[in-house]
Amino acid sequence: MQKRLLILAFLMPMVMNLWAEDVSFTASAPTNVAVGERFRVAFQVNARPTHFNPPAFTGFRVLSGPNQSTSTSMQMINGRTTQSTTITYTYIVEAVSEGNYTIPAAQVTVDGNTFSSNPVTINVGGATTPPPGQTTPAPGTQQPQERASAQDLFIRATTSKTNPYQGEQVIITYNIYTRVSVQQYSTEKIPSYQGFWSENITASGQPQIRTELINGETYRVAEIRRVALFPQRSGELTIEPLEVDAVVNLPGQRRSRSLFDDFFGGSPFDTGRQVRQTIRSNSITMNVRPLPAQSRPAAFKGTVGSNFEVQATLNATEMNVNDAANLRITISGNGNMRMIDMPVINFPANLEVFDPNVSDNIRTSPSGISGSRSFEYIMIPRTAGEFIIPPFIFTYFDPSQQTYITRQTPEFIIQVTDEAGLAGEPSDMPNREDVRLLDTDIRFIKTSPISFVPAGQMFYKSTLFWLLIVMPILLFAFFLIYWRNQIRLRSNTQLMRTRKAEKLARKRLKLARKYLQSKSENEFYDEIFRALWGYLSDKLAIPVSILNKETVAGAFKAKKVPEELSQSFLNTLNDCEFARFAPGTKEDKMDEIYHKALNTIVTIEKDLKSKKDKI
Amino acid sequence: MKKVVFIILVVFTLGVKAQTPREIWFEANQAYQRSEYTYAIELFEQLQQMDIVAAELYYNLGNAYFRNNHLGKAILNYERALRRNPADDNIRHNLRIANNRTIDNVEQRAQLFYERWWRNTYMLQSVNGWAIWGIVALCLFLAITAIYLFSRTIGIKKTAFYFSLLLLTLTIFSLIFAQKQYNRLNNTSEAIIMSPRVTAKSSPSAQSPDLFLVHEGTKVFIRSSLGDWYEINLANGNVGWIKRETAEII
Repeated sequence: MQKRLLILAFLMPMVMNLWAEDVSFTASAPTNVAVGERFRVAFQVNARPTHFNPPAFTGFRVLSGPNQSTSTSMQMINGRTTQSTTITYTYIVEAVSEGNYTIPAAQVTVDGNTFSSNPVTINVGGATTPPPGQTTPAPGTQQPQERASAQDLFIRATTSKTNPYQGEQVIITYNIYTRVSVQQYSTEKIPSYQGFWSENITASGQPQIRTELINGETYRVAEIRRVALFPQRSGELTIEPLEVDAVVNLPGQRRSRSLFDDFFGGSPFDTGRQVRQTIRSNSITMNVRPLPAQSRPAAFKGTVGSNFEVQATLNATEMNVNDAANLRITISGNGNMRMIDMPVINFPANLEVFDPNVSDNIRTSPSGISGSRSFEYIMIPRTAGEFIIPPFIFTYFDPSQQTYITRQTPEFIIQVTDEAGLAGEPSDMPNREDVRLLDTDIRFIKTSPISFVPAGQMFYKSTLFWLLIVMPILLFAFFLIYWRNQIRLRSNTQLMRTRKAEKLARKRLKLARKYLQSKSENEFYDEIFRALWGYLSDKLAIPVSILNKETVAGAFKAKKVPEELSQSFLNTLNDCEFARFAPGTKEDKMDEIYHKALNTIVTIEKDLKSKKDKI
Repeated sequence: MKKVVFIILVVFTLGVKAQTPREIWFEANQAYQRSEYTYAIELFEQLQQMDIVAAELYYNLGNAYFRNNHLGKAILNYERALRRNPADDNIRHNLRIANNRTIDNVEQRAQLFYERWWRNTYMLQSVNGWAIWGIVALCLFLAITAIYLFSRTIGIKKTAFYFSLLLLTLTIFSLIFAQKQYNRLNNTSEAIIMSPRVTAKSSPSAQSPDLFLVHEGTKVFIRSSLGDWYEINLANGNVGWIKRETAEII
């Protein structure tokens, strides 16, 4: 219910905004009244103002007000809801004296805009005929005898304490003392109790009447009002007087009073006059002491009173995930129960706790306010595990002992199990949309036999690993070195041979020339052959074993020796062979062949040299 | 009923003592298939006590824990399996499923594309895999280099040169990755939360203020330890102290 009201209260301003443009603010009052007449002055506004600035009621006495009343009407037409709110500020005023009086405009502020009401002019005429049996004495015209004296009728306000602590309960009792008969009374003006939190604790039913002796006079005393007050700030606080309107039976004046009558304060047969009059109580000044600052516990929230107790009950200590547990904390004692705040408890995270349901059980008795206030929490654990609900610490100040007293509830431990595996599914879980819908179960185990390698064995950084790294590198290095050596070796002999080929050939030719001169034919040809083939073998780096005309021709081609040169070389070889085995004169031929061979070698040497230089 | 199961388990355990690892492995897998997960867990752990380390063993144990709703233990074992066999699709899949069941959705620091590529590449092979890759690539590199050095044909020489460069790169990276995986395997700074709920404190004492809450299965990084406490940080950068027994190092 409270919640609904709250929502309504929040919605109200929103709705109001819709009509903000056409705010109407009117004042209404009767135009003609009589002196002493009471009447209503109403200010009506069709919006919810943030501020109301009342006018000055000059020439009138304000008896009560402003009393605010709200009326809300809701209209539903074709499914469309329209709502209008009217707020009325009502004053009850009394005309004091004759004349024309104007109540000036009042102001309201709606959404930051100020609206003024119309001023109202009231014509106050002479006293009207009072209602039968009643006399309203007009001020000034009143005769002393027509009013009960302050000794005969007065109200006395008494307080249980004159210098209470801030927040301490103080009982104010208003007693009416009378020696005249009071026909009826009504409370006219209740003090505003500024600086206090007040609660009326007047006993219901007819007030008890007792008698009391004051200054030798017997009074009848009735308690008319009793209020529990809780000072909200320290310092000097004054309580305004209470005003009561009483109808008093004054003893008849025209009849001579008999002793008998006097004694009884008026006989029932006395037709005397009924006078209506306003009586005021005394005002009370209190000196409110602040609460001692030293040794004030941190948990102190301003509660002052006595005999406070806290009690906590938990309905379950073992439960499943997402089940609800119920924690009820009850604070009871003598003091202002309505001012007790919601307990501050550090609930563990993952325990979803809803705002507590507050229920009051408050008793008002003549001795003050007492009772209990309960807070009922509903808690839902969202994960499994142990949840520790810390103790609730309640601290209050006891004025009678002048100390702070701390009460504490026990610590609760809730064991939450997750048998159904629900922990992952509550609604307040973060949305994990990255999970693919079909990918929600794990895959099956691996059943193939595994290699049962003992722990700590690993190929990486093992001796074998290093061996396999180092060995190829070493092998490669060895191979490289060996190969290099071989190449160097081979290239050196070849170079030598190539370089010395011509020299060797010339040497052989020289020998051949010797044989030519000695005319030893076979030796000559042998030497020529050797010179030619040997030269080729050395120069072209072809082993003698595979040397023949074809390989020579190929080698010449590879060395890019001109065709005619290679041809003449081969011709020389052919001639040599031919001459050797041909019959006939040999000396000329031998000489010719010698020169031919020499020429061929020289030209080839030249050609190859020129090519080498070019390169 | 529970008592009966317990007795049966004890009997089984006693009977199993004399078996070889291969038989225990078979028996454990059978138990898993019969949905006797508690028994399967017991057998798998028995294998672990025999100093047997294998990605498959961790994987199956993780599965058994998962089926028994022990999310933290399941994730721990999947992580251990993945360290030994980072390329295995099944392990990755199950770890992802298990991680999605955790309560904490720790926001991962966004990785840049090259960080992702780097990680995806070195996660292709385990430490031994990369070691073998490195050795093979090294041998090939040397062979191709020899061809480059001794070939007389320009075409072959050119091709061999590029191939040898490629193989050298492959060798170096394989060995870097092997070292990376080796470090991961011996990394003791990662842990999995084991308790259903752990409150991280601002300092290593139970009285210090609560900083944040982590739940079972969340991976945390251990920065330092002091007495009974670990200083952890989460993937999103939060730092706090937790009790040592609430987490287990991967």
